[in-house]
Amino acid sequence: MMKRGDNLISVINANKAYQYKKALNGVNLEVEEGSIFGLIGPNGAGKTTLIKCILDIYKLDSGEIKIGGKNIKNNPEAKALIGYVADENRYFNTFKIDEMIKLYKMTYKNFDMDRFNELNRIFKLPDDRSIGRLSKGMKMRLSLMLNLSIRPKILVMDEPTSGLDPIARKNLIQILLDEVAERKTTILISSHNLGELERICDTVAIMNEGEIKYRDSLENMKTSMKKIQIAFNEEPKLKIEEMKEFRSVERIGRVYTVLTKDFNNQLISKLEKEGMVFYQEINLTLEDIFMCCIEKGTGVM
Amino acid sequence: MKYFSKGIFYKEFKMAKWFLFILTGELLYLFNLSFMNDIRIIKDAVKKGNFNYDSYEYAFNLLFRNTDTSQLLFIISIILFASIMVGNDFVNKKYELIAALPYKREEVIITKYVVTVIITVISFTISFIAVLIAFKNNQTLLSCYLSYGFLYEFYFINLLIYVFIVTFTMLIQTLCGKNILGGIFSGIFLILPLGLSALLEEVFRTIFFIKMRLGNYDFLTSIYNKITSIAYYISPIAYGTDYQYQLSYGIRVIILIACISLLIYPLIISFKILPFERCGYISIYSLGDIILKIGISFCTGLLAAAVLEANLTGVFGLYEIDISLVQQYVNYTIFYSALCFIGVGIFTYFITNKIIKLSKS
Amino acid sequence: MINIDSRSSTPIYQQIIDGMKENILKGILKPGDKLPSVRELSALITANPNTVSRAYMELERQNVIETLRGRGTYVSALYQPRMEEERMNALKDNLKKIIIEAHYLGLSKEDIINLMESSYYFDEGKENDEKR
Repeated sequence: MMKRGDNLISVINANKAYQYKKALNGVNLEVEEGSIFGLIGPNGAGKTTLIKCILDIYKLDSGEIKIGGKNIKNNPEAKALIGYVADENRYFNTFKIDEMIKLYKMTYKNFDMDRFNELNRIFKLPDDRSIGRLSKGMKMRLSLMLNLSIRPKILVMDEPTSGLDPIARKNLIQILLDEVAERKTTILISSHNLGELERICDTVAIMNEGEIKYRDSLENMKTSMKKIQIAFNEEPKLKIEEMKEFRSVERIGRVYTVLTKDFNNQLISKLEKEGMVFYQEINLTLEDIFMCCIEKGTGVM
Repeated sequence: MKYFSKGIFYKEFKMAKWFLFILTGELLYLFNLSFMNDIRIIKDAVKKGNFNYDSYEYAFNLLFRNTDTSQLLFIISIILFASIMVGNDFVNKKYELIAALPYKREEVIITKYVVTVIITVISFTISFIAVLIAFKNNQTLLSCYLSYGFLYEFYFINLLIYVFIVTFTMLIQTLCGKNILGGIFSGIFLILPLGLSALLEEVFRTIFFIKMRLGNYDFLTSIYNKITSIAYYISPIAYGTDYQYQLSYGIRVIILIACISLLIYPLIISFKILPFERCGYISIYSLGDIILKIGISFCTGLLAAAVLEANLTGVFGLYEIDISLVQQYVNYTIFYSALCFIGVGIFTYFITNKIIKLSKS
Repeated sequence: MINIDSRSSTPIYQQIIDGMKENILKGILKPGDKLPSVRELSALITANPNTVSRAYMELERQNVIETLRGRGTYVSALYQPRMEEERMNALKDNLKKIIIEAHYLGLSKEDIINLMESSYYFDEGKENDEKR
């Protein structure tokens, strides 16, 4: 299933600093073909910078970004494979929708007008309006329609569901899933909506302070990491918060909620010696991993 | 390597076609109409029998040999046009959209440049063809002053000047992150030699005031001519005028062609390395910050000092007072002007610094 | 048909596999029934097509379903023996939940066993009544 095809996104040791801030600090990332890849992180983590560097909108100070094995820098052939739906869709405001379509037709050889019309049946954009007068949601939809019609190998989306009502959001997800199912499109999404990503992503990367703190398939994440609730009879002598085995510890009274990769018999007997009377595995969500990465600061790998 | 793409051409031409109409209309309305008007006046004068060659020559000198108002307006318009062609996409981060499209950066800037130059050339050429037609229809009347050769010379050098201005402005605009501001800076740089020479002349006048009061003008005149010549040598924008110490026509043409050729490659490179995250900064590179701060402070200080100096000449009555006192008051004037220069300069420096910082937030 | 809980610790592909098997158990899907395609199912339950595809492959490997070229994917006629194991696992999970609930109610292990015994005899009695 996970094969290294031609349409990989490879970020190799990317560094980028703005005047007062280092936005990308030695970022390494691989996105496999045909996968849905989620990029999450708090505001200011560097997600948008990373995405813009992947698209060659911003330039790296050092490092390399390859699309399908070819360096993206000033490379129109590589860029023709990528569709980009930004968080704020800026267009040439004097253009009308059909003029925008005309521009895309001239720019991308594979522009598929049938696909555009097919999508328009779902999204129903007004034909003759000048783009400056569209609402934010409509602009995003237009961008999505245009970028799907170029038959991209990769679709990059920056916060696509922010500002969409639930119906539009559902439509968007359905369309994305359809793209992957039908055309094996690779999708890179940056989003704050962890619930959504948890549902549809193959792989997730958590970013903070310009670094990738965690990167794994959702499946691995759920099988390797466990969230356990532990109850003690009395105050344990050992400092639970400082135990190496636990990636994160939360406590209410005598009940501790911990995240750990090493929940085995050794650990259980160790805890029983400290007075553990009860333990139970509970559901681990992407949000837990996210909180753990961001608050603890160290990697969770 | 592909340097020209339909898509980008379509996008740029959509904006540029408006300027084609504006520029052509401007020239036709201001320049050609003046020309037709002058012809009509001469025709009338000949009919009435009081044709005066000198006033006729004066009118055409104004139109063809000096920078007429219409030409000045045209220059301002093409500076705006050139800066908007590059700077318009700084607004609303449109460059981010363009950067994601499958175009090489060189393609984008070359297309912008070619469209801008072609439209400038076409609008001026249309106006010139109208002039040629008017000349042909009134050849006997006008041939004592004008000739085809003269007109072609006029056309050629002004065309080169306009192309130079457009190239230079687009280059400056790639260094300035705000739309139109690049054009303003470009305009300032273009007339800077002339402006500075005027200020320098003021300075010299003050320093050598005694010699002037004693009637010794030759010394000053020769200095002035030297300064003015140098200013005109290095101001391609003024190459269309016919100041008597101007370089010869051929040399001016060669310098213009050389300048244009030497600016094209830097324009392409400057655009290619543009960091789009700095759209909206007044100066994209920190070197530009320094140049702007120092340059603006210096020029503003100089201007303020010159204005003060001119006023003080009147206030102290330097022309009226006794010769023995002149040097003393001249020293006062120089002292206060220098103070003013430093004071205004420092003040402007801090304000410019603040403005530049604000543009980055 | 299948409910996916994205917040669960069970990987989604496993939930799909289990869900399919449950449906077959309950008789919602019978041997020979046609299953939705990968694309259709991923749209239906809003899941990643790669995940659905993987679940289908695993189900096929376990001979729960079979793919007929050009015709689609069907419930395998052969799937029987594993039913017991699935039901056992479901039972164990349910028991665990009941025990936890009882524990929170304050019942000790003995209390729970006593409770079970009383329920057990009660039901057996009821069954015997019905048999008559």
